Amino acid sequence: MKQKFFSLFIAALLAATTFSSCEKVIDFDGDETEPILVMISFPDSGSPWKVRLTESRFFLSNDTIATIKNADVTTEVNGRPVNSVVTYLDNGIYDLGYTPQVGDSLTLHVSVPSKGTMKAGCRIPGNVSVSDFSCTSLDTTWTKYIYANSVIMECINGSVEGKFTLNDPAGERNYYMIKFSTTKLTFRSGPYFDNPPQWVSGQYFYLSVDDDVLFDINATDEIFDIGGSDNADYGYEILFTDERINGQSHTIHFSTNINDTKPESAYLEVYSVSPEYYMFKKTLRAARNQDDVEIMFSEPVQLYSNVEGGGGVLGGASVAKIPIF
Amino acid sequence: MKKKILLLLFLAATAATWAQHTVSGTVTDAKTGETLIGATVFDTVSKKGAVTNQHGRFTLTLKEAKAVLRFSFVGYETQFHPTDLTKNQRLDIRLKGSVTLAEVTITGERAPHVESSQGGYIEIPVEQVKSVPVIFGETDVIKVVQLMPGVQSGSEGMSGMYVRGGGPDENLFLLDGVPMYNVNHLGGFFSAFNSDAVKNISLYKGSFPAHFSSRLSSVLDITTNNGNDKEYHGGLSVGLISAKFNFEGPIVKEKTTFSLSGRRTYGDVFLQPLIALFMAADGEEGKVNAGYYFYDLNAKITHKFNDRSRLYASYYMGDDALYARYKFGQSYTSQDFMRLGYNWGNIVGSLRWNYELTPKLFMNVTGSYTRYRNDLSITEESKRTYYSDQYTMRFNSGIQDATARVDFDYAPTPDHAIKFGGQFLHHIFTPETSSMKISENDQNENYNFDTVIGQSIVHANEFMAYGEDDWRINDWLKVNAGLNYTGFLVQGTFYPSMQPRLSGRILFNDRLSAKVGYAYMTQYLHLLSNSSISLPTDLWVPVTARIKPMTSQQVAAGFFYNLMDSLNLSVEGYYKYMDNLLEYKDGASFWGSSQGWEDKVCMGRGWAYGVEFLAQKNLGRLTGWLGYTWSHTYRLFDREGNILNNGKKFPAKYDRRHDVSVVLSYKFNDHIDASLSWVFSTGNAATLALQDIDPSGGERVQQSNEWDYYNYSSTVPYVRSRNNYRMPNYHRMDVSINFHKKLRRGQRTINISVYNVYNHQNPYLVYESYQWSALDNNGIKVLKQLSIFPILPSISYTWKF
Repeated sequence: MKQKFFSLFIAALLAATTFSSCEKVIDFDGDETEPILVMISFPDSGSPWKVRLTESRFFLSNDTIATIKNADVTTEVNGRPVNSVVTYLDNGIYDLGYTPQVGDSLTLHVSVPSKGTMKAGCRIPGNVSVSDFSCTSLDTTWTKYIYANSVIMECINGSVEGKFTLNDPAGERNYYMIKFSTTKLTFRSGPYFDNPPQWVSGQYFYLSVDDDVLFDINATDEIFDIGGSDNADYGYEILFTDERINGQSHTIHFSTNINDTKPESAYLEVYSVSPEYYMFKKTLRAARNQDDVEIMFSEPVQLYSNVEGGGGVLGGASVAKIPIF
Repeated sequence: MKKKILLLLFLAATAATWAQHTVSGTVTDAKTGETLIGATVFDTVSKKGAVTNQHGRFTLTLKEAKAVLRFSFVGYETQFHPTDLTKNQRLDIRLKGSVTLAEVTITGERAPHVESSQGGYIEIPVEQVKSVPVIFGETDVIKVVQLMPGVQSGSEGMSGMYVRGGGPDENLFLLDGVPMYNVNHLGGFFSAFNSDAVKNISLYKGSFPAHFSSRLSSVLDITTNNGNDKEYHGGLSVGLISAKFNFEGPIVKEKTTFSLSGRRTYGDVFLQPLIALFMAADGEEGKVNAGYYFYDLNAKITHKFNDRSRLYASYYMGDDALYARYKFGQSYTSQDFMRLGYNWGNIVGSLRWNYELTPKLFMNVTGSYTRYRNDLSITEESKRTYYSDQYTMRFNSGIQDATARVDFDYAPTPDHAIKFGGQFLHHIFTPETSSMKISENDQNENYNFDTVIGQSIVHANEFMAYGEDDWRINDWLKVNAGLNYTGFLVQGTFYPSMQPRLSGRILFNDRLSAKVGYAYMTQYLHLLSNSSISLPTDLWVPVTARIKPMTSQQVAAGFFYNLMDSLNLSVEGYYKYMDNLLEYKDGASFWGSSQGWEDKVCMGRGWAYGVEFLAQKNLGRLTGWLGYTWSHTYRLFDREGNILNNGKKFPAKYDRRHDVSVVLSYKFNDHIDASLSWVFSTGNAATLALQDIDPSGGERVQQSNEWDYYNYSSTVPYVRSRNNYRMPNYHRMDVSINFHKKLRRGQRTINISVYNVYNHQNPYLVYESYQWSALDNNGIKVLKQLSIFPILPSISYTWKF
C-alpha cells in the first residue's frame, strides 16, 4: 500500500512538473551502438555441452536478434584443448562434442569472422547431495478430451507438495537452484493427428518454496507490500546460496501446480551451480522483475557477465533429478 | 611526539604574550547593530591584523604602545582609530554602510582571501544571493551556492549539492551552528533557507578547520540576522507562488533585539478552485479537495547583558504539507471518504551564550535541538445508517539531535588564533514507525484496534573534541593546524576517529598567496534516497556494525590573487579519496522503508580530482563572479560481497568534466539594478541499457528446438557498465531586473525575472520510448528527453520599511 502511495506521489510530482515540461526525441550520442557478441552456456555434468551464440541488438533498433552460425568455437577442459567435433545445430546453438564431468574447469573460446572474439571460463561444481525426499501431497486429476469417440488430449490439473533435505558441504560458498519440470509427448501425439509422436518436450512450472531461513522476508514487507524483495522463493527457478545453512543438512519444503497436457513424468531438479551461473540467473531475474517506477528511481539492473570481449555467461552446474512420477 | 609538538606550540604562543596589550571588541553595522562576520581589524603601525569571528568579535594583542587600527568590511566605510596601548582596551566599532559597494583602494591591507590560511573556502555576500535570478523569482541560498566552482547541482531545479565529487548527504548545513537535515521544500525545487533571514553564508569545500566534523564534502555555515537594535524595520514580498515577510527591531533598545521572518506558498489556494471547477465539469462536484503548500518561519532574539556577554535564542520551523480528501461513494444512506495527509519538515532551535572570559579568551556555549520528520496518514472512512468504520494507517520516520557544545577562541598574540572545544550529540533515529488504527461501530457495538508495527528507534551518541591554531609563523608563512577527534557509539559498536587537519599559506606579496591543505573527515550518517529528487521518503540512518563510517582524505593546493582590490582570483586543485561510500545495488529502492537497508547497499571507494577557477568581484557597480571547474570523479566497488559493475571502475552519477557559471549584477543607479547568470555543464552520467540481448539457450535440453518458455525469445536490456551514458550538455541563462522606488514610508521594489531566457530544453530525464512511424505503420524505438523548465518569467513586489 505504501509503495503504491509513493508511486502515486512520484507520479503526481512528475505530473505537477509536467505542466511546464516538454519532451522531445533526441539523437543518441554515444559510442555503444555496435552490437556485442553474446554467449549463453550452462554446461552440467553428464549432459552434452552446448552454447548459444548471438549478437546483441542496439536498443533503438527494431531488428530481431541475430544468431551466429559461422563461429569458430574451441574448448579447453582443465587447461587442455579438447579435440572434439563442434557441430552447429540451429538457432545459434552449437554442440561442443564434450560431456563435462564434476570438477572440470571449462574454457570456451569463440571467434567470429569480422565480429571479434570472446572467452569465458567456469567450473562444474561438485554433485549436489539430496536425501530424504518425500512427496507429501500429490494430486493428479487427468481430464480426457474426446473427439469422435477418440481421446485427443489428456490434461493434468493438479498439485504437488513435497520436501527434501539438502546436504550442504561445509567450508565453501555453494550456490543452488531448484526447478520443477515435466516431460511429455507433444499433443500432436494423439490419434487426432496422423503423425506419430515426434519428440519429448519439457516444461518448467512455477515452484514455491516455503523457507524462512533461506529467504528472509521480514514481516513488515509482507504486511505493507514494501519493495525490495524479488519474491525469491517463488518462480520457475528458485535461486539461493548456503549463506544461512553452510555445512548443514537443511530440509526444504516445496509446492507447485501443474496445468498441462498429460506429462509422461515430472521431476524436481536440484542444481548445484557455479557462482557465474548463480549471478547471471539472479540478475536476469531482477532485470525482468524491475518495473517502470523502479527503473526511474533506482539503478537499472546490470546483467552479470563473465565473458571477456562480449556479453552473456558460461556457468556450470551439477544436477540431481528427483522423479515425482 | 605529538605531545611535544603541542607543548612547543603552547609555549611559543604564551611566551609571546609578555608586555603586550589586547584590544578586543565587536564590529557591528552602525544602522542596524548587526554584528559583522569577517570584518578586518588591522594595525597600520605593526602591520598586524585580525578578523571578526562568527559573533562579530575580534581580539588583537599588540606590542607597540601606539597603534592605528583600521576597521574595514566589504560594503562599509573604513574607519581608523588611533590609540595608545597602555593597557587592555575594549573597542566596539559601528561601521557605516556605503551607498554603493565602492571600489576603494586600501593600501597595505591584504584581501582576506589572500591573507587567510584557508583554501577551499568561499564567502558569499547575501546581497549577491538576493540579486541572482532564480526560478519563480524566489531567491534561494543553495541555488546560488551551486553556482560556485566545485559545487554541482543534481537535476535541474533541484537543491541537491555535490561538492568535489561527494554525494548529496556529505554536506553539513548549519543554521546558526545547528545541523539541519532536510534543506529542501517541494522535493528540492526550493531550499529551506529564507534569504530575508540570512546574514552570512560561508562555504567550506576542503582544508576544513578542525572545529568542523561529521560530513565528508562540505560545510555550508549560515548565520541568521540578529535584528536591528535601534529601530523597527521590515518588509513584505509577494511573488507568483509565495509571499514572505520579515520584521525586526529592538525589544529593549541596544540591548535586546528580535528578528522574525516567514514565507508561505499559496499554490493550494489557487489550486482548490481549479480542482473544484474540473470536478464540477465532470459532474463530481465537491468530491475532491487537495493541495500542497510549504511554509517556514525564522525567529531570533538576541540579548546583550553587557559588552562581554550576549545570549542568542533562535528558532526555525519549516514544513511541507500535502493533503487530499476524496469522497468516492455517496448516497442517501452511505458516505465513503478517503483522506490523505502528508507532512514533513524541520524544527531547529538553539540557545547560545557568548562570554568574554578575558580579552583574549572568548567562550561560546550552545545547546540545540534539531528534528526532521515525515508523517504520512491515510484514512478510509465509511458511514452507513447503522454502521460506520474507519481505518487509519500512519507511517512516521525522522531524526532528532540534541547537542551541547562549547567553543573557545583564544588569541594570545596577533600571530595565533587558537580555537578549541567539544561537543556531545545525542541522535535519535526513527527510520520507520508504522501504526494502524481500526474503529468500527455496528449498531452501537464498538470495536477498536490500535497497534504500532515496526517501531525501530535507534539511539546513538557522538562525541567530538577539537583544537586548532591559526598560526602566523612569519610575514609569508601562515599555518592552520588542528586535530579533531570524534567517537560514535551506536548499538554497542564504537567508532573512534582521529582526524588531522592542516592548511598553510605562503605569501608572495600583498596580493598573491599560495595555499595547501589536507583534511581527513569521517561521517557516521547516511541518507537513503531513491533518486536525485529530494523526497520526504529519504531517510537518515546511522552507521551500523556492518556499514562502516565513510571517510575521506583530501589534499588541495592553489593560488589566490587580488587584482586592484576589487577582483579576487583563485585557482585551486584538489584530490580526494573516499572510502566506505555507499551505492545502491542494482534495482534497489527504499520507498521510505529502512527495513533491510544494509542488504540493499554496497560499500566501496571513490576518487575525485579537479581544478577550480574563480574570479569574484564584490565591489563597485558591477559585481559577480566567473567560476569554472574541471573535474573527474569515479567509484570502485570491488570488495567481496560489495561488487558493483562487475568490480570495475565507473564514473559517479554527477561526474561532470566541465562546469561554468557566470553571475553578473549591475547597479545602474539607485532606482534600477539588473543581474544575469549563465551556467554550462557537461551532461550527467546515467545508466542506460544500450543493448538488448537474448539470454535464452545453453540450458539443459535434450533437443535443439526445445525451450523453457519462460526464457524463450524474450530479450532483456543489457547494461554494459554503470553510468555508461552521458546526457546532453546543460546550459541556461537567467536575467532579472529590479526597479526600486522610495515611498513616503519605506521603499518598494518590483522584480522581473526570466528563468531560462533562451528557452533551452535541458535534460531532466532521458529514456527509451516508442514513436509511431507512418512510414511502416509501426512503432519505432526512440530516445526521448524530458525537460521540465522552459522559459519562466516571474514578477514579485517587495515593500521594505
